[in-house]
Amino acid sequence: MLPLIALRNLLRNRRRTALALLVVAAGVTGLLLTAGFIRYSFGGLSTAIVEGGLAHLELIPAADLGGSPAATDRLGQPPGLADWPAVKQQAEALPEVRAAGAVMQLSGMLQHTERSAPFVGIALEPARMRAMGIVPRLRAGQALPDTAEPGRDHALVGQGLARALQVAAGDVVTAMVATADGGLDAVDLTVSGIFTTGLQELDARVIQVHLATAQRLLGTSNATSVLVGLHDPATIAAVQSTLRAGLAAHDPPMAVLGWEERAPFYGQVRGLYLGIFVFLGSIVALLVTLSTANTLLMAMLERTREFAVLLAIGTTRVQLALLILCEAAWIAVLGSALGCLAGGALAAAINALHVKMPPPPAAADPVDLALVMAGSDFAWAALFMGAVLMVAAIPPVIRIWRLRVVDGLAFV
Amino acid sequence: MSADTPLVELVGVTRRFRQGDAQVLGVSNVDITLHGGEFVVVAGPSGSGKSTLLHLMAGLDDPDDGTVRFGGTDLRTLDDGARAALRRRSIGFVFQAFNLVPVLSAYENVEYGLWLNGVSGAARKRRATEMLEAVGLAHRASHRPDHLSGGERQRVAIARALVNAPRVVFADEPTASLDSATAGEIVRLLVSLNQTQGTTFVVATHDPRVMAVAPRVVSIVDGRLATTTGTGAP
Repeated sequence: MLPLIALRNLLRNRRRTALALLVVAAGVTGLLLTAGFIRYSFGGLSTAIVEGGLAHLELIPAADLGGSPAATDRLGQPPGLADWPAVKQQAEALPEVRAAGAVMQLSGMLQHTERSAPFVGIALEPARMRAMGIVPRLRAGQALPDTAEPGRDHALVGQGLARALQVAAGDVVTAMVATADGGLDAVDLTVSGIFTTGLQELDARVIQVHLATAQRLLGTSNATSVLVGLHDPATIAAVQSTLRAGLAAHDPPMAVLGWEERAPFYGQVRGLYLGIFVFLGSIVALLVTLSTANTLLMAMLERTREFAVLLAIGTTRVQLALLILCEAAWIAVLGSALGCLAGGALAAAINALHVKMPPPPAAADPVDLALVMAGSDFAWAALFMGAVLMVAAIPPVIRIWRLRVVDGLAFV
Repeated sequence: MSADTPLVELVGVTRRFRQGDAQVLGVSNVDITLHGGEFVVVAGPSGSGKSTLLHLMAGLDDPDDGTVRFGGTDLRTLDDGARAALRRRSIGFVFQAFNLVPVLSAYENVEYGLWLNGVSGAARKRRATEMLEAVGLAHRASHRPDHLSGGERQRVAIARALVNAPRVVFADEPTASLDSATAGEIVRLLVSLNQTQGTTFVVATHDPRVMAVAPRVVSIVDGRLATTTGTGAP
């Protein structure tokens, strides 16, 4: 009976109730749109990271992990993964694995005509990377050929580096690297294409070459690590665990790293966005609490005499408190429903407009303003509003608890 | 409680109120005993202490001095919840301003008291309908209070007060907001219910029509009992 009375009570002052519903709906809509944008940003960022070259997992000798003492000792040494074909094969034997490919990191100087600039290079197996879904974002020219024969080596050059060296597709550049014995070695590379990583700073330094080219240049048959791409990103933890077990006896000891472990800035961005979301949620909660608490308190004060009568005829204070909470719950439910409808409609409209936003700091390209709406976000937003309304109901509940019946009966 | 135990008993009851820095006497040193089945009018001019007396008898307020017993139980010994239960089960109220719940229909207002006492749905429906029939308002059951006349509202309030078959009904100026003819109907209804159902009525009023039909009239002036006439027996 209390929910029925509570619902009808909301209709007594329709304008005030409509305003409260509007406030709740606006809060829910704001939360949903923000969550949708953050979800889209996380999704886009993680996809960009994974498909930008990190892949889902990396299998790397533990001694080569950045920051470890062993890795410091190995600076200037050739890469340490000798049996990378076997490691790759072991990974590709798992049904969850889409493809695996060896990579090598190198650095040196790149020269074109009279100009030179330092580079960081990623040596890879183009066909395997393509099988993982990792394809370069070409600005000009073509991707690397699948094979690299001696004397016919190719490179992709980052667009910033290409600009600095005035390189175009089809030009020949010379890459020079320091060898393990302290000497210098060089190779001529035909520029297949110009590409971007999406990050301006990296574009000013990066090149991609075939793994075989880098191995010949450094005089080694080793690789730095093996990258693993999965069919379903949700299986990362399971595959990581399986590979750790499978490589437990490997010599040298291997580390199996997820992409998030290798992209610390992703965690920082995620932390920043979540901080913004919590801050926004706090503001929404405060505004909705203040607004609806006033609505509920006014409704209670206007009905002081009625509450006193209800107490006089035997209603308990707990029941009256529940009545107030029911009214708050109705506002939360109806307001959240309106907010979810509005949020869903607005998100659909924004997505349909395909709005472009300026590139974020350090990014090379504009980004889409798009929203990814998840069912759980709707549920959480509604639950959040329910909690906020329960808090807003505290002041009127306290007044009910303190109401003296005889004072209430005399209330005009 | 034995048959001789008074239904309501006030012994040396005094209630003072604070108005600013001054203390105002609500009722002073009142001794009164009410028995089951009585129809008692508490008469007196406005501000004489009639409502205060009713509030004390019903456990809505506590005296500064003296003792109020309901069915032999000192009301001071009951906490808030126990008093609510007592009022729910044993006491009915009728107010001058009717004080129905405006968002509930006549039927739902009567049914509410039964719901408070945990009566099941079917029994609630039967009993609430009976009560509305008893006050002649079965045909107006679905109407909300704002669609009822003053007399009809007071009849609904009486049905609400009686629906749990309370031992006593306290009526505070039940005819004050009604026209003469309607007030007469309400008075006859109260007397009839007292005589047919044996419900005890304590009616605070200064309406001479009510006093005229009351077997017992307790007069109160400036918070003090002045005179008592009759025995209260119907």
